[in-house]
Amino acid sequence: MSDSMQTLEAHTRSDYKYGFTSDIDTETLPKGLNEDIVRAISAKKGEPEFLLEWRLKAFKYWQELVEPTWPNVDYPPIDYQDIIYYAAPKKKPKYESLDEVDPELLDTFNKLGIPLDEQKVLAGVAVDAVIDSVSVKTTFKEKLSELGIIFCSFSEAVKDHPELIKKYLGTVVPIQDNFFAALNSAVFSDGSFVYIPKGVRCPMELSTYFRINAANTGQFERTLIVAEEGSYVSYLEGCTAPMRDENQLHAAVVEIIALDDAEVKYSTVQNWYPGDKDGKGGIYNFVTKRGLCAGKNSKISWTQVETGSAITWKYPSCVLKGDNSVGEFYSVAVTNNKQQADTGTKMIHLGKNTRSTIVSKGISAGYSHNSYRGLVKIGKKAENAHNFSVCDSLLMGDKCGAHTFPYLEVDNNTAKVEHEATTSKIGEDQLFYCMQRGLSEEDAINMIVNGYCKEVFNELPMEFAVEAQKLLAITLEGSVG
Amino acid sequence: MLSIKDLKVDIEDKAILQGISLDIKPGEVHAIMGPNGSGKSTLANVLSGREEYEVTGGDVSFLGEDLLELEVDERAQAGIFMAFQYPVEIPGVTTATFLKSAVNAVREARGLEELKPVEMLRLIRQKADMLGIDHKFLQRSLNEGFSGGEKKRNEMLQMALLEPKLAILDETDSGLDIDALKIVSDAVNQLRQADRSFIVVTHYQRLLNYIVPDYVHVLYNGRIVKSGDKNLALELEEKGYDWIKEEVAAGIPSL
Amino acid sequence: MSTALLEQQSETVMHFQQLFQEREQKLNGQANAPLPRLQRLAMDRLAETPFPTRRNEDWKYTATTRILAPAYTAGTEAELAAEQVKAANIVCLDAYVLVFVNGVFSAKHSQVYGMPPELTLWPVKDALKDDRFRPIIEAQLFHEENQVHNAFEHLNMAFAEHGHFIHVPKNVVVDKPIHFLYISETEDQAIFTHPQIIISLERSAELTIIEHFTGTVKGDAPYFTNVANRFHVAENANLKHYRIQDESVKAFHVNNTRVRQDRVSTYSGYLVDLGSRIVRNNLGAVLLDESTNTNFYGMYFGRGEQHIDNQTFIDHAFPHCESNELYKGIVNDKASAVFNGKVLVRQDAQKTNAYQQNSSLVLSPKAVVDSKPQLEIFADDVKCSHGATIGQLDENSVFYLRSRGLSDEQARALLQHAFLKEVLDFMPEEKVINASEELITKKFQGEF
Repeated sequence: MSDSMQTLEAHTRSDYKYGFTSDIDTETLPKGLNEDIVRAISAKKGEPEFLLEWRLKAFKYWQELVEPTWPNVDYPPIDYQDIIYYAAPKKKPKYESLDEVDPELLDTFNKLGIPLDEQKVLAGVAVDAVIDSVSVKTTFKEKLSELGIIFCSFSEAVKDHPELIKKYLGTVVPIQDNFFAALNSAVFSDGSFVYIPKGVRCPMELSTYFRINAANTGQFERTLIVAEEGSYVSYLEGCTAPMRDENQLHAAVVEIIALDDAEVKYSTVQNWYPGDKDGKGGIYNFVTKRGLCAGKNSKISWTQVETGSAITWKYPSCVLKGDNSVGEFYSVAVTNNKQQADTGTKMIHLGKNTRSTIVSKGISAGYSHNSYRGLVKIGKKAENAHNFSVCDSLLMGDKCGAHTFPYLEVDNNTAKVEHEATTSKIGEDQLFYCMQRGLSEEDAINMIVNGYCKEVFNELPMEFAVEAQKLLAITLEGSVG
Repeated sequence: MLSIKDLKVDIEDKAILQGISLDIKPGEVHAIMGPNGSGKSTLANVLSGREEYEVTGGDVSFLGEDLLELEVDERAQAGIFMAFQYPVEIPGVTTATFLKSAVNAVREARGLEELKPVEMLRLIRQKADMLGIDHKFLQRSLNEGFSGGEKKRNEMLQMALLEPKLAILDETDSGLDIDALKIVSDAVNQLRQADRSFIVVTHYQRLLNYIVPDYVHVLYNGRIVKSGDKNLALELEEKGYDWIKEEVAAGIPSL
Repeated sequence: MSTALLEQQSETVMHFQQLFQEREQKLNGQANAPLPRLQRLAMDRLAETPFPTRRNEDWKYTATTRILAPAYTAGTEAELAAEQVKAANIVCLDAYVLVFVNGVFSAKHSQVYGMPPELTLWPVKDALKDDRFRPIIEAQLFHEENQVHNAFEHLNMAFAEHGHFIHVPKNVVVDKPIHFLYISETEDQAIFTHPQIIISLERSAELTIIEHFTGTVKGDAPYFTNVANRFHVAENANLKHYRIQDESVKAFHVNNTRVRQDRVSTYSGYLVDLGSRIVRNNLGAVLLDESTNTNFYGMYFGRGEQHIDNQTFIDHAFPHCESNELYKGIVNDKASAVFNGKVLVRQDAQKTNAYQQNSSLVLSPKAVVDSKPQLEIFADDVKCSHGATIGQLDENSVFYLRSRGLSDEQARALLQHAFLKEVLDFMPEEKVINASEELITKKFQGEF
């Protein structure tokens, strides 16, 4: 067994000795979705009445909606009645021995040299691990609670801080927002909750690891981050998923609220199972992420490195409501084989002197399709708004596609909007050139791709940046020449 | 240094080089001229190790080694340098980073220790000064946004740093104005030395006013049809290639 | 086209025809010389080719009706004092100078002494009589590769009397720039002039030219400068082309420049627009072979009611070609600016490297900018980028400079200057940079 896998295994096992879920045997509700299932989920989690009402409202609304078809992705219709909407982890870990683990995945872990939880703990990173849908462990809680910081599973937050949940849930992504957000609102199982009190600077990177583990289980995370006046937090989200033959639906919702002078930095490395070389299997990743800069001088920054999933549909966005607020979006999206990604951001400028920056780097290889879709909207009252967008596409090979859909809507003439776009191809020429100067092929690819993504990697916390670089090299292995 | 014997090369089953023989001794400068499509760039590319070309016959030995057995990076490490006609751009990778990686890769292969960052910087700056290259170029992404002349000058800087045994200049002068041409020629002349040879592939005689070759070869239809000294280049400039084509058609043996 | 427009256009063309006939009658049997024959042909074409209107997508932002409204007559050489010419010239520039007064070549003010003997610089009408050059010129004039000639180009050919032809043989590097200085002056009679430069650079030849337009409108009658240039840059040749357009702000200016490039050739245009009531520049490069390099560096500054329209077209049809396009401009008061840049990358143009950028500063609420960068790409292995920015002066920078003691006006002028400087810095000829900066400064100070 590889070191990293051992660490992962060790970690997931070790979770149970601290397990706070008393009933750890499989608790899976029957397939399908109806009002009873929604009620059952809420009941199992012992939720207060307001939350059940909220879920039911979302479910009713969802029933009226049609799945969106505008993204530039293509997949067979999803049977929403063929999905299990609630599963707690089983007592036994998924894998008894290494033989059960897909060797390709192991190989990937090896190459990644993943700085797993143990290392993170050593490095002072708090970890809130989510296996399937129920949060089973939270560390560093005490240290954080001294500062008044709340960092816990969503279910715990519902129990311990219902007033906060009631106040903020659905205020950034309302249940009516879109098809998948409505679905999530109805059936979300768990997730993370972060609350940073007024004037507190969170002393460590907050981190969660997600892992989709049980077959045929949709994963519906709900994350809510509230940063009070003058606070700061950096939140990391990292994902790995083991191999599965059947597609798995993942429809998460992340909401961030930043009040006056608060700053939230949200970083993601998404490395879920992308399906095999022929496009079989893989995760469907339909995510709604949005931050509201509610207060003046607030700032929300999204950084994402997306290398996994069969289909990605994701637009981390910022609503810049407070005057002088700042929104940022830095993204590297890599697709290989038959992956499809339609990702980008929305920057909605409502307040005065609001600023936003978009840096999007798409890399397409194999037969994959990679689309950037971004909206910059300058509202009527957004005096002196300023947006700067860079949107680059890199093609590897000639069977893949890169598409760019920028939307600019400017309703105020004091706005300054800058947009740059490039499309280029990493080809044999670049590789040959580097190798003619004595570099090996592997080093050459790494150098070219990392150079291309540098602006985004610079935004990631150091250890994440290293992981991201390696991830890229693995995802793109063998895609040139 | 380099010995090419009866080299035959195809691209997509089309014969491009049809039996080239050439012997290059240390310190010599050979110019290769010829009309478009005669196979000049193919020769340069095959020597540097590009894969699209299929060698169908002949041998190439470089410092006693079978060159055709080596991969492109191995050839570079062994001392072959190609100055490209189209130097590629690599966004996000600074020229300095690229130079460091290349110099260290080549040093490692040659059994030398990696240079310490400070030594490396000193070396790069020294060579840049020698070629009159502004240090601010070192911090810009490799070749990105460089003018044609700047790209070619950057090629010369890489040549100076990698200290090749054999440098191949593939149409380095094409598209350069007279000032840029002089700068590139000066660089080559500064790097000329007894144990370093050059193959200069060019369309235009005027480069050879500045880089004076020991030999001039005319490539036509994949063969060297005429060889001579720098005066041959002047003659070609004066009369064009038609007389050579006629000579070949009439079966007049080359020199 | 509306009836009113049709009527105006046919009136205009009739007026031109009348002028043309009057001139023909004065030719005294010379009507069959090569130039008048070509002019006749051009006049016939003009009759068939309507002037573009705003219905034409490419002319959407610029109305030609204003330009064509005055009843123009051909310009005649006016007496200019030597000081006047000197004042218009570029300070300290060591160049061969050809001066044109109201469109008429003025030998008296020109300086062409010591040109390299290999170089040919002849009036078009003489060059057409030479068997070596006639085919070259005719080929240049009648090429319509991918672009149909517009009515202004026919008009130019029909009336151009003082066009010049430059031929540079292979390997010849012309030692100094050739400076074409066009000075126009009107009082109560509107005039039009038809500058024309036809250039043929042979293999590995190098040449720098400066087109320079200036003038005064003393009374109510404007003048109209209608330029048509044809440049051919052969294999490995290099043409540097400066254009300083500093016409009177009551004048009209239309400039059609077509460049054709062979293998590994380079064309660089350095284009400064400061004058004219309405200026429309069509600059197009057709790339006829591999590995060419094309650079358009443009800057413009509009005040008052000026309207500045730059239309560019680069047609990539072969592999490995590179084009760079950077246009930066400032509009103030009620001025308007248009940038419509089109880059076409055809399917065979693999490994194309095309870059296009247009940045504008809009300094007043009534100033207008329309920016339309267009990339059409049909090849897959290319590197292309385009960008457009529209913005205002950074008030923080203004404040910073004022906090260091500069007046508000000085601070703004300095920042605008810095904005345009990026384009000027691409010019290899320092004297031209200096001259342009001086003109820009004058414009800041309101001397326009």
